[in-house]
Amino acid sequence: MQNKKIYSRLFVMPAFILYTILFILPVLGGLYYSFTNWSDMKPTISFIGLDNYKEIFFSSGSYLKSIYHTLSFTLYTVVFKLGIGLVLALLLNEGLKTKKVLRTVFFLPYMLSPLIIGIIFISILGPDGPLNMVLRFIGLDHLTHSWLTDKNFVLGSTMGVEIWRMAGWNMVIILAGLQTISKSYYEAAALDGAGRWKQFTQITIPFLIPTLMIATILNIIHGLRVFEIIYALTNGGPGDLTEVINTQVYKEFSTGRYGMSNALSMVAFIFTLMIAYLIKLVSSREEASS
Amino acid sequence: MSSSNKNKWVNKIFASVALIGLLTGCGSSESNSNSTTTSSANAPDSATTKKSAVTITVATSANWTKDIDKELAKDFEAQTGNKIEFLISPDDQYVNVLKSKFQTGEGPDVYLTPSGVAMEQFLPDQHALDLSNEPWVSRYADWAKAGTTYNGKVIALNTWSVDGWGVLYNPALFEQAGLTVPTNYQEFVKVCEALLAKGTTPIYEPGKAEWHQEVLLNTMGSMLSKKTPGIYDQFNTNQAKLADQKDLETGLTQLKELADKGFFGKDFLSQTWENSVDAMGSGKYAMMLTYSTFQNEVLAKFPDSKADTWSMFPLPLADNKTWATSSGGIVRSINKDSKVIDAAKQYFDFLAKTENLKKYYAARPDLGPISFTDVEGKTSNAYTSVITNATDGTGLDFEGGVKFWNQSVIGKLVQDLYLGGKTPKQVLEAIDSDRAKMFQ
Amino acid sequence: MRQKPLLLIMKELFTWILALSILCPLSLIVVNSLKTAEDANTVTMNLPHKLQWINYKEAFEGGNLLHSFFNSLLMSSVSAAISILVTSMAAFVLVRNKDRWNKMIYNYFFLGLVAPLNYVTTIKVLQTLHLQNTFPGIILVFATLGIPFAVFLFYGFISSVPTELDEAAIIDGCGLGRLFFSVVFPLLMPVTITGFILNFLGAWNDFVTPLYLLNKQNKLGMINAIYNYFGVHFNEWNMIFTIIVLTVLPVLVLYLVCQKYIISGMVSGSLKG
Repeated sequence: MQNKKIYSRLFVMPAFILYTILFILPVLGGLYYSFTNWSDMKPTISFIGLDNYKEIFFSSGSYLKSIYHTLSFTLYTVVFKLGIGLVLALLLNEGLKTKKVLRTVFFLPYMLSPLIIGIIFISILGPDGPLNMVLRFIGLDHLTHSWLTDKNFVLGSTMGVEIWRMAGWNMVIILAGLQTISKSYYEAAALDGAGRWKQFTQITIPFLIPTLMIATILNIIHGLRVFEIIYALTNGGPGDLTEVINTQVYKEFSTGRYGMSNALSMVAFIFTLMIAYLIKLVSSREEASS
Repeated sequence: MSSSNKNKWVNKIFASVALIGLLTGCGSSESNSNSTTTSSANAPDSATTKKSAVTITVATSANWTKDIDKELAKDFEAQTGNKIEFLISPDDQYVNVLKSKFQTGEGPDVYLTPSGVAMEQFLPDQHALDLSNEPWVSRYADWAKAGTTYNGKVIALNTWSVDGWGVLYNPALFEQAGLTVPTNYQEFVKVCEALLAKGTTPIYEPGKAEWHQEVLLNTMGSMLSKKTPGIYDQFNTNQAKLADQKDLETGLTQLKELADKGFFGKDFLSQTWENSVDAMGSGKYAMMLTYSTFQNEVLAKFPDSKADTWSMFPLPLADNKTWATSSGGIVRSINKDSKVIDAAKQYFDFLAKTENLKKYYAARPDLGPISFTDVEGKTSNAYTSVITNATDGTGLDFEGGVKFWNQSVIGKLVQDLYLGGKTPKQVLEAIDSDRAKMFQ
Repeated sequence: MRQKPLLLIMKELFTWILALSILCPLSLIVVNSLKTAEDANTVTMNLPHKLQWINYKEAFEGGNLLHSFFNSLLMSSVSAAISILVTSMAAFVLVRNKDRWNKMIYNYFFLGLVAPLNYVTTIKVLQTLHLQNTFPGIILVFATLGIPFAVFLFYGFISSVPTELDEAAIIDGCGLGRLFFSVVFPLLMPVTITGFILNFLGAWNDFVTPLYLLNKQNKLGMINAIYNYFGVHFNEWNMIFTIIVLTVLPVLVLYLVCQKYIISGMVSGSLKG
């Protein structure tokens, strides 16, 4: 290798400085305020240590519930986004004639603002909205629900919309992963008499593991940070059935309890960081062993 | 003017890009210093050209500023040369945006706020200009003055209306079914049952609107403060708890019962407020909890509905016989730190002129009694009838009298009550603990 | 792979049925944007009785769309350009020289994918820099918001660019500046376009940030300007859908024109990350 001195760190500096000043500095400010009782009802801000965090984890309030909702939202959406993305990618990888058009269509929702998607689905999921109309039309009356207000379905409905939005994005990433697998492997396997299922489990899946890992991390980050789609669809309601961490952050902020609002968003941050780090650890270990 | 502005920021962008270039040691220093000097030379230039006329920024929530407000702003502009610029936030973002702007010293010149104790959420001590000596104060109606007074000072201009929430109904429909105005909860249930039996959904309840769920509780305020004088003060010093008020618990228990009996219809939690005029105009519903001028809106859209003959009675939860009224709707305050206080005062004078008030109220059929004594008001049939039907009189509602009364929090808790997530007692306790946090 | 043609047609058909679940909701917007307020009140798939093109005319004139369109264009494109420029440079060095410090810096950028933005403290920083309420201010914030993901993209892509080119250029006596801008940067085109577009979209679709960071009406972008004008009419579904169509249209055109790059760049970037 050449002398690496030429790759001067000066080149990193513009991005580093911009990012430090306009992103990290405000975030650190937020971290500091999370240890205070800053509220716009008080004349002074005082340091209260971990009190906000204690309240989040040990009070019987709705904070724990929103953490629970966030985690289950993340778990389900990650599984389904990846699953549906994988199925779509496999279908498209079969040499369909209209592959390009289909790929464009499935990726389309990712281009739209989640707020706009929220507005669209509020009307689609209403009790007399198009979804129920379709269900009634094909004779599945018993499956109709008031999707965004029924307590058994509302959280699931928000997950469904998120999956709708992001499945195509997963498909695109997995599709690319599939295309890096050389055809010769399949041909060799076919010569050995391996069936399609065997080819899938012994060639496709192992080669896809790195792609799936990255997609999983990004999906988890998206899941734990969920806000706009729920904000637009239900605003955390009805009651607190779809309250997630970031809708609570927003709520605390609007009542002027800035300290608490910052503490909550730090909790979301720490969760995401921990999970992302864990997965990175696992995946790098796996890479090393294989 | 806009082109010189554009030049200015194009230069600034160049300057900042060039600055980045400088940091990496790649930019040519000559062109870099050039663009910075032009940008700083331009700045005082455009500042002097702007000086003659000023711009007054007015922060408002989307629903509070109507077409007529914009029209009057244009008239004001034509008369004085000063420009009004509305900074509109969506209803659910407004409080956040305004508070963060105040927090960072970026407050607007004029801001809109709900009247009464709700003005306190924007810290009037720090931000609101004392308007007690403005000429229009002397023409204020009593309720308007009371609703804009804080610590003995008038701090806002009200061109809204005092109103309250009651059950609007169609007397013809009642007559056909042989029903009379209910005066207590049991009679109310009987009325609903009779209507339901005839195939009419008794009540249109926009369950998706969190704030409307809060209003249901809000209507019991005047009853409570009549029975227990001074209770609002106790709430405001955090000495009394809502959970200890038996009447409120009874009221919420009954509210849940109304929902469970199907009087609101099946999917009422997905019904919206925006659809309420159509719902009432369609004749599918017999009653609705709304304000006294609502019938004008129905009539405007459904001329055959005879909505002008509709009447109103107080919602008899916990046998309430009082009509709870607001502190006067939405009002405007001037930011103490504004650089254009004189122009803002001039704007308020303009809005409070008799002819402009007439024009304004004519364009707002949703407003009833008028905040100034020299303009003649109009009262709806609902207004006169609800005053008659409220045999225990009228009084200030919770929103107008109790601090830290958070519509969204309370609305969600009431939704939780319908869904069986909380008992009436737990709902009240949760409101208490939410308010307690604000006193800490 | 040899497959029975019938099976292939079945699969194609099946995938198109799945695609309908994307297309139907989207067509719903267009259909309802052409209805009268009355008709659109209950949102259905029924076709409008009479096409109401007047909705578009009204939105276009009332919202002062041209002016705000150019504001949006300016904010989105300049911020995307800045973001792409600074991150491609940074990623290049981070990939080529993976010493301890640079690895830490990479992880430091990664934090940005996860950490929560705080508007109040952001405003305070902008005030200190005298950038609050200015185009440069919001442009730099948009650019910064795009940095973490763009670093991620470029890092992956640059890893796949062979170092032989670098070595040849260095032997020819190129400095880092020339090496990067005239040799390496042109090779990054696919991922540059991807990064640019994702950043552009982020800024274009951002409704909340300008609410906090811009106090001036004449500087608002398209979404905010339209909202400002139509805030009052926001319970008329036909107008809501008209507005959605108008704000989505530029994005859609951009997507269709550049989709080859968007998808391929995103893929190559994220695969190697």
